[in-house]
Amino acid sequence: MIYAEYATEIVTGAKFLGAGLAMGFGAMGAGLGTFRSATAAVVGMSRQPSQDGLILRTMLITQAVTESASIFALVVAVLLLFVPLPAITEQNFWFLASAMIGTGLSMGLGAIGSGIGMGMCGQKAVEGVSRNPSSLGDVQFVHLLGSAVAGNPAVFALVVALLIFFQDFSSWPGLAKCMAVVGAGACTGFGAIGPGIGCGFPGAEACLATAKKPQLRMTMVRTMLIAQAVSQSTCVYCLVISLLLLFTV
Amino acid sequence: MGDIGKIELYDLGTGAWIEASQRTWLTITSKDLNTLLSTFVVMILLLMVGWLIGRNPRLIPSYPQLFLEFIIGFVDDLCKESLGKELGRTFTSFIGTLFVFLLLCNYIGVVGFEEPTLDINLPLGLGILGFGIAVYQAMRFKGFFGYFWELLMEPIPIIMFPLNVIGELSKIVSISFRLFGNIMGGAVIIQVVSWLVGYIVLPIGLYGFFGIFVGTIQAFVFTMLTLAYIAQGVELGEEDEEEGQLT
Repeated sequence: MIYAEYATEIVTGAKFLGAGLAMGFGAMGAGLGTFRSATAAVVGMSRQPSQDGLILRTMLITQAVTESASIFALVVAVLLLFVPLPAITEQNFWFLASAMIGTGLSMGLGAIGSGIGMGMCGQKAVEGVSRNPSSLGDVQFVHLLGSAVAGNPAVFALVVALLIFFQDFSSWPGLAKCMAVVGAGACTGFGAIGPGIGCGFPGAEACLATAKKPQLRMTMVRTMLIAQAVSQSTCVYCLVISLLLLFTV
Repeated sequence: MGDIGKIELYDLGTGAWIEASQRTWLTITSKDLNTLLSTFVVMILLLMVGWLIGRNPRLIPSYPQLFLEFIIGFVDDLCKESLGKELGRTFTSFIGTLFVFLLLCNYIGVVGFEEPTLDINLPLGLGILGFGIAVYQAMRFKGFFGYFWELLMEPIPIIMFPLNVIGELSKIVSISFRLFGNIMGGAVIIQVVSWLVGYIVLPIGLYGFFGIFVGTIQAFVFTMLTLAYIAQGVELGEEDEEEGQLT
């Protein structure tokens, strides 16, 4: 194997690169998501100064939900940094190195879209509560469901990252498999961006609509879930391709 | 810090702790044992509470009974709202049990046990259970072949069939890994921060946030998504539809 004398350095370096990719990209989504609820809360407080405590509480809850995608990224980064690796041999070190980078790519890129999407849900939920404070319970119900489904792409990315990370590294599978592992990470990672943002839109509008007509919340939830399932299907295709790359190449 | 993900193996056949290379089909891990222990603690707690408070219900409720009635009424309303009056009532016990069980599973990490939801097998098992019930309900309403016909013919006939099947199966993956990922995220962050600050003060607040707050939200989301999956296959009667819009 080429560069076998640097095996440990290469794997350790790839591990650090993967951790950096995971957390660096993964922080983008939450950053672009959490500010939205804060914006809506500021506008809402200026509209209804008497309800500022309620609006602040809703804002904090929505922001806590929005950050879960980045928490996944943090988990993967910590896994990459601290979990003891399997024995590095002259046979498997290129495979190990590429798997580390694939893990980081998958989770890092996958957290972007979901962060933004869940932030959209949070924004409209805060806006709805500030318009109609009596609908707080209904709006939070719809918001939790909507942002949970908008977070699905990040969950798929987490699944792929864990599958790549906990593979059997004992032998040399060939260069194609090394590339396939990075490709699997990139596939679900990039594929999760669009659906993550897209699933945010129906969730956001359902939150606002529930604030306007709380008695129709089940109709909103049903329509929202169907719409989100359809817009999420492209992410599921990416998951399928990733699994094919991981297990059949 | 080095012990995240470190797992010890115990072999039931030989009755001794073994190395990873000697693994057989009778081998269980220390994680399995922890999960089993805390799952049984949760089950015993739930049974005790149910037995102590529910053994003689009174017309004028005591405070604990009032609390239980509040939870049951809340779940009952949700079920009736999404499944219709008759069918909803039959699902109240299942959905309510799922919610209370997951809630306690997430809370039990705060008092020193390992959360059962930290092990992927528990969320995955509950996800498969919920999915199975959803498919069964859909088959009851559309017929056995009607269910597959819908998978086969919508939205484009035959071409979309494999993707429809994968889309259905991905429900299990997403619902269970969301719960697992969030709980594991909390556990990892608590471990890392505890190590950084030397186990002083800060971890308590983190346990409050990740154990209690995130635990509640994720248990609720898991339960509601299971209910929503069941409701997708069920067609409401006209009466229930109208009632849902009026109330």
